[in-house]
Amino acid sequence: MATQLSSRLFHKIKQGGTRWFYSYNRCIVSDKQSLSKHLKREVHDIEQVSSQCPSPWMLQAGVCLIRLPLIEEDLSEFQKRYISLKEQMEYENSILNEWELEKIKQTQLMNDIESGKRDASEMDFKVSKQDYEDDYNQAFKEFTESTTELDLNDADFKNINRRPKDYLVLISKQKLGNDTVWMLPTEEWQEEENLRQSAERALTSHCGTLVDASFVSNAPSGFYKYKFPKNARTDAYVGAKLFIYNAFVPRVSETQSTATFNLDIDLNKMLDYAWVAKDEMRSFLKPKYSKAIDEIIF
Amino acid sequence: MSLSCTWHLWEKSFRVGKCLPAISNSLRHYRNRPTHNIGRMHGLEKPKPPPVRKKEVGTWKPEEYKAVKENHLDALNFIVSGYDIVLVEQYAKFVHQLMIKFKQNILEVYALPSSNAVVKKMLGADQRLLKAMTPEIELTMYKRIIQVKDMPSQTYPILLQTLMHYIPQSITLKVDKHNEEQHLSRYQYRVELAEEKAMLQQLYDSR
Repeated sequence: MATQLSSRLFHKIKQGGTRWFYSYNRCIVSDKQSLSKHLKREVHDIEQVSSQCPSPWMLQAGVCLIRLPLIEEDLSEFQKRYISLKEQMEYENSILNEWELEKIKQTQLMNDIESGKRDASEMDFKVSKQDYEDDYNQAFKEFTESTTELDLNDADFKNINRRPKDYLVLISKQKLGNDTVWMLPTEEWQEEENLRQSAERALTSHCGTLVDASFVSNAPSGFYKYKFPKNARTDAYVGAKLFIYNAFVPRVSETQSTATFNLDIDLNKMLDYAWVAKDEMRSFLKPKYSKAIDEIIF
Repeated sequence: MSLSCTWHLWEKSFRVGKCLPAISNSLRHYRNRPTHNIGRMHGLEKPKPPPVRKKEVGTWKPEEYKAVKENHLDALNFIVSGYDIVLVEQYAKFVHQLMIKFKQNILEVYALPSSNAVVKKMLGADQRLLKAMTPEIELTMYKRIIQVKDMPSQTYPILLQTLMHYIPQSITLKVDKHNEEQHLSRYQYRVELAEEKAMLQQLYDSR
């Protein structure tokens, strides 16, 4: 083919005479077979490729620190009606137990003694079961739950016990270039480190080592990809790929329903923080970012 | 040939009605023109040998790679405990059903003996002890255990998070590794056996 091309050119030059033109094919083109081979995709070793042309995405690991709800959600109307119906059916189908049979016997005995049918010596109890029941009901009325432990200030975003029926996520205000952005605590992935380790490092570097949080899995639960603003883009990185890990704030004890959050803030990294529920996230975060987090928490 | 000569020839061709004669100026190089050396092959270009093919032409076989070995967790105990027996049993049933749905290898599902916690009431100045009531309250803690073996490490976080989502109020879920201690806690304390063992020990020591 090389010879064909050059001969065509040669003829053109011959014909032209006074006409001169530039030719594009200054190089020798190899034979037809090898041309088609260059068009086929070649299989490379991954490490070779990554070293030759590294990807323009910075890898980051972020922590989605979740506080589980402290109190059960309110029942819906349908649920309430169904439960009351079920209880009624159960009550109607049930059989009297020992306590209730004894109570009936005792009340019958007392009535008979009063009316004179039976003798007073047949009374074999000091306190009747009905009296016990009356006392129990009285005590129940007088009982007050101590809610002084729960600090139910819903307006304060820094209070970990706010909105006890919802799932809360910790978000922090960080510097990204010149702007301050609300986002999850994130750290860049470094070599010779798992993604999970970098997520744990993100938590300790932003919130301090005193925070007690348990990670659930080695694999990330969520993903978010974003491009840097144009003035922040460098030759190496166009944007970042964020892998989000779930971590849970543990309960204080079996009996207590509150949660504690011991912060040791590094003010260079975390300028401000907030415990935020699902519906409030939109006002802090970008819509796509909050969508990525929505998919993780229930 | 001079310029006038070529002009005459051109004129003549028009008059005659023929096309231009094939005047090849290939002997002249026109080194000052930019089109100098176009189409000129200098030296001998050897044809390159075709590159060595490792695989057959036309077929692409992907390189085989080793898959990561699946990591299975050892025997795990899911311990459901609480004061309300109805909730404990219902939630333990839920955990068990979830494991069945995910086709896990369930070894055992059992209950540990319930433990009593006695709460003594302290009477304040404004409180009075009602006629029938005793100042002690007994709270029994109920426990149910679901033992699962060889759970793949990928499904474990998923199941754990679903369980955490559906847990009712006042119930605690704890996940432990199954070890000798946990196994022995199921057995009752044998009074006679312990006494006989103590006697044997005494005999050994006296020798």
